[in-house]
Formats: sequence, C-alpha cells, structure tokens
Amino acid sequence: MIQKLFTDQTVAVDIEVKNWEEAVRYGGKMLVDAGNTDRKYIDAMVKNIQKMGQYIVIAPGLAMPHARPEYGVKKIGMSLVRLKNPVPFGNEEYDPVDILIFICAIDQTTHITALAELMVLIEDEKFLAAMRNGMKKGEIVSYIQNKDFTVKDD
Amino acid sequence: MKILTVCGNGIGSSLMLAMKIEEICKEEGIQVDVESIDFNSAQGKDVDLIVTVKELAEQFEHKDVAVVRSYINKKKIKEDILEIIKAKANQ
Repeated sequence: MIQKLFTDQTVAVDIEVKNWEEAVRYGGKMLVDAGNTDRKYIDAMVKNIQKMGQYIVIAPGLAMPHARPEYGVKKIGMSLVRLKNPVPFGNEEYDPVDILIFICAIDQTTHITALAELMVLIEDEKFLAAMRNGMKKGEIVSYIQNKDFTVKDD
Repeated sequence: MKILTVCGNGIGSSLMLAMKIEEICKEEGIQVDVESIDFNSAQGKDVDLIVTVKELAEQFEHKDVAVVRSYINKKKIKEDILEIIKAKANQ
C-alpha cells in the first residue's frame, strides 16, 4: 500500500534547511498540500519533538516525524524528504539526519500494513545507500512503486 | 505475558517496536501479547513489562521498564530485551 503514498507530490530531494524544525515543517507541508492533513498537524509534530525528545530519529541519519491522528489527519499519508545538508536533531546515536519520512495516520491501527511496509523500505540498505548517493526524485518514486513489499513470514 | 511498547504518540515508533518484539518472541517460541501505546496512556498500566527508549524510560515509575537502543533494529532489540523477556516468561 505504500506504493500509493509516495508520489511526485510527497517525495522531495535536496531540500535546504537551517535546522530540524524547518525540515519537519517542510515535510509536514507536503502532507498538507497533498490533502492528507490540516496545518495544525505540522505544529503538533514540532511540539512532539520539543516535548518528547529526539526518539523519532530511529536509525542512522533517519527521522520519522509524526503526531497523533486527532491533529487534523484526513487520510493516511507518508512523505519523504532528503535534505541537501544533514541537520542535527539532538540524538546522540543517530545524528545528523539527512532523510525524513513523515507519517500521518487516521487512528491507532489502520496504518499497520503501511508501517510494516515502511519498515521493509527502511531496512533496504541498497535503497538507503542509493538515496544518499544522489538518487533522483523520479527514481525514488519508481523504486518504491516497483518494490515487493510482501512481508515475509520467516 | 503482556508487554507495552511506548513512544510519544503510540502510533509510529512504538508500533514498529511492537512488531519486532512479536517477531522475536515468535521465533523464540515465547507467548506474548504486545501492544503499542503513547507515553501518557502508558502511565499506571498494569503489565508485565514496558519497553521503550532511554529518554522515555527515565520518566517511568513502573518498576519493570526495559530499555532498547532502537525501535526498529531487530538485532539490537534482541540483544537488549530477549533475556529480560525470557526471565519474565519463566517466572
């Protein structure tokens, strides 16, 4: 299902930002523009990071900003931003961040499939390496669209 | 046994962690019921084990809190909590 979520409208590359907040606002605005959520979701994601800390940096250089469904989410969405220059989030282990994947979910459970597929994507080291090696926006979108996300039960 | 995975919102990182713990326990043949939840709702819940990251773990009063270094890296998660889960399962 995430093949449908990452499109020309929700993937952006080589974005220049001064700090983590600008990066979060950029990706949040993409979800607003794509019709997935209201503007207040952006503030909620920023506040969440200010209040709860940098745990959303879940892997080296990779952050997954999100907020709760009640902050204006209209439909499930994801967006992906690759920064031109990495920025620190204050995470000891995984800073600085150059790839951000944004999630908005309508409730606690309906996005489980999408999230499981997203895990397959972020564990795809070949993909991450290619992303960091200048993969173009169109290539990213088509890579995701052609990838097999069947979660293997091994 | 009942495990809660916790992050700020209960819908992102903690849900990924819950899936990983289920996977690990299935491989090890340990019966668990894993639920992901947001930090505020997790307070005062009666469960066998709470699993979260360091920043959030420090804010818990619950006595059985285990810390993972990663929400998604299965190897690290396994190293961090498998022994704890096994010990709990044998109680």
